[in-house]
Amino acid sequence: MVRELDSDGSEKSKVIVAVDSVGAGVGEHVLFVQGSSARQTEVTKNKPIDAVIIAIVDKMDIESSGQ
Amino acid sequence: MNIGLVIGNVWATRKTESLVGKRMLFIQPMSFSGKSVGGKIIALDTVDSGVGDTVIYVTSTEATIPFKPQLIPTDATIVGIVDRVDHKDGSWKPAAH
Repeated sequence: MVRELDSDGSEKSKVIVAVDSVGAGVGEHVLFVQGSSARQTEVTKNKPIDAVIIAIVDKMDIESSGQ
Repeated sequence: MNIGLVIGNVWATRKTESLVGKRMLFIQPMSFSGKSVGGKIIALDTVDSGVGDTVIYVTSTEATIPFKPQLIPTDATIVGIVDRVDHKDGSWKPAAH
């Protein structure tokens, strides 16, 4: 189960169930994709899956907040 | 397609194998008049864009198309860097950086 985060790391209320393709564990910050993009891995290809974890985040860096 | 400003980077060493070598960037979505709208997203880069660039990106299934036939699990992909926008309420150029 994955809880969505804002870019500043604060938790949103939405929780989804995702398949893991990278060996992520509880407490790790991850990237996940949803929708048809979720079928674009060897693990999920042609399977009825709509959310997959694709990476474990090491570091995020926001350099400017936009205009 | 959508327009947005590249505002940051994301690093992930452990990732699905097909993402190795792909750059992941934070985007602040913008309206076509250049104002920030909505929450930040993460997109893959195909055009060597960087922080400060105003870019065009595609989302959903279309985000995987630039990489075909490779299987790439992405739901947002940067496909162009904006030089200038002509809009009914006025033209603008992205700020130089």
